[in-house]
Amino acid sequence: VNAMPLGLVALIGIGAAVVASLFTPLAIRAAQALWDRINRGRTGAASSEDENVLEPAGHHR
Amino acid sequence: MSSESLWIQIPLIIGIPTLALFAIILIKGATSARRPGTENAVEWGMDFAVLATGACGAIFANDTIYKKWGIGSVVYGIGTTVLCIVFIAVLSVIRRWQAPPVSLAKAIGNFIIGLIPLGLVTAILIIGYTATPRR
Repeated sequence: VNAMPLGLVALIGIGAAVVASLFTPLAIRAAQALWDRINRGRTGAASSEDENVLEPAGHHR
Repeated sequence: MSSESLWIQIPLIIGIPTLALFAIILIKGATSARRPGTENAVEWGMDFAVLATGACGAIFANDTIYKKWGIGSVVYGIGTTVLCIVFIAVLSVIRRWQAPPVSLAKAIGNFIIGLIPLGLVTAILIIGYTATPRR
């Protein structure tokens, strides 16, 4: 049995796992930061976490 | 084309779709009605698989591989394209049935499925460049 294809499959699996575990959180954070930056002025909320926060009257961000 | 150029082609084949995907993610994220989150990872995985389908052209239009495998390179190219479509279909099914609070681990798992097609294209290139031809 040629070990090269098996080694390649293992390499692809490990590579995909490493890239995905680094890339996915980074992409999520980048997309959220950009979305927040664009939508802050329109919705008045910096992020979805802030949407339900009740602020005292007269306090506007 | 010498086998040394494989080590130039691999970063290009992996790097260009990755950078393109990052730009696509930012554009989609910026223009979406809802705040992007872990539930979007399945769509990004699909986008990556689509980009990998485009990278299959590297198998068809490669002189070294064509010289080594002949008409077989076309068969491998079409086979890889079909596999890319299968992975896109799997991700479509996941997207259809995923329940909204998606954990980060699940999001990474979905993204890994989208990365596999590009890994297949890269693997075929590596095998094509390094395997000795049959006699």
